[in-house]
Amino acid sequence: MHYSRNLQLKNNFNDKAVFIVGGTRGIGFAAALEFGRLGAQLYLTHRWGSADESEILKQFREVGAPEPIIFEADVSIEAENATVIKKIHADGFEIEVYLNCACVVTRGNGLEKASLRALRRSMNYSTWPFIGLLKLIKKHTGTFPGYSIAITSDGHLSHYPGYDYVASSKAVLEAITRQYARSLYKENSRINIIRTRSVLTDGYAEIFAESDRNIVTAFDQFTFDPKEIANCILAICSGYLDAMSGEVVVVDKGASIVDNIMTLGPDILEHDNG
Amino acid sequence: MAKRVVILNGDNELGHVIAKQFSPDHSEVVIATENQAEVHDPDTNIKIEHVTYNEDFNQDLAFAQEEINSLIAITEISDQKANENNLAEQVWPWIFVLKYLFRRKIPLPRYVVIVLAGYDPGLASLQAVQAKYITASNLDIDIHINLVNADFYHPGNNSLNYKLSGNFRPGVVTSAEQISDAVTILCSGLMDGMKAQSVYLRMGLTAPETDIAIDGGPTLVD
Repeated sequence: MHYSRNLQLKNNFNDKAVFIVGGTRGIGFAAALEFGRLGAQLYLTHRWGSADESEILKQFREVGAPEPIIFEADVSIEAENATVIKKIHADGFEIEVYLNCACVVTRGNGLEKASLRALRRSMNYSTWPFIGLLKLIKKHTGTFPGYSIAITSDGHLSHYPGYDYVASSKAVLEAITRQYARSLYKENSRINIIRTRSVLTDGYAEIFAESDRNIVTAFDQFTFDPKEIANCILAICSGYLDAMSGEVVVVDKGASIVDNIMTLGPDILEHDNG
Repeated sequence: MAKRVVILNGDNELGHVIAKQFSPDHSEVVIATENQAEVHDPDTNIKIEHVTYNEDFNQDLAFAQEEINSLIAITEISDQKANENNLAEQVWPWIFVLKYLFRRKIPLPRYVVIVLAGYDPGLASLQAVQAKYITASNLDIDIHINLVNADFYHPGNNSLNYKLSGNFRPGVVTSAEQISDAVTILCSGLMDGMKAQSVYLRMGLTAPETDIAIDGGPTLVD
């Protein structure tokens, strides 16, 4: 474990439903294991056959977690997600935690190749579903989740190679989340964002070229194992941060304050010179 | 290893709530205050110690003679006077303690939490900048300096009255217990990926002026 064993979480996740979109790999899977270890019933979605279900079940067994229920569902198709939510409701659960880790990557490639279609696709897959599924959850279970969390990055505050569309989707996700926070809070439902960077997942490898990733891993004090982000997700859902909603929690090990030419530049030059 | 907590400017309701929450899992909890003589209730591990924050790094600062696991600095914003003395009374103390430890080659605390209890965006920015720059110069060590911003803290809502002329309803004020919870989770190890960042306890609101303007005063103010 990465945190103090002395800490008794305020919330009990035993026999509670946790719904994770994009929950079979990366941050979503790491969070799933954490909640499963605490006794939660996990409902995980993935698409494109990206999940090795037998391996997922094996890892759940190893931590003594209840067997998760895994669905193949395209995050952008309402009907497929409604099936999952209806199943959760039919199983007698309200959704305690809703975590959306889905992000469909379309690489940007400069103004000449900028595409409205790519921008729209990014919004359809990586922005709207976080809010759209919240509406579906309310519609099919009668209540909003106790905690809703989405993952963003600092790509919209800076520039990363090829990140045009993902950055755009994250910017809108952060902005729109705040707009609903107060009304959700009045229904005892909290919604927050974790903004991170350099989490070394398969998705990270899909968006950034190997040469870019090599630069990042040269500064490994700023990279994350998905489990570290999962711990933050658990913290937000622990009951200790229930006065927080509509916020962007920045989890970057301090990278954003030093990642500029003057502060980190000398280290980069040193790296380039071998 | 014995884990010690020091709460600066902690001889107030909020400081005592935090002290009680940390007490069971720590060997010693020190409430440091400039206001009164030392008190040690032998029935608890909570001590109150007098401290003076100045430039005298040769002074005998009792609570800083050995390693501190968590350093919590409370900024209670309540009136005009607090604003006038921000630098000396609110910002300097936690920097002073870190510098004091550093000079004695005592390892810096793993957690530093600066609590802003009440509404003062200028002071919040000042604290955040200090947190960033001290973090940046200590990135190679295991120190996590973060802030808890509780604009709507109840006793501190004097600052809201002062600035915004309204008595905030219980539903939109942050309690000492909620703030203490946030401090606890920041020092738990679960949020160790956070460095020089702020946790805002605003219950879905954004900032007092904005919410009064948008949400309409009657929603927030009696």
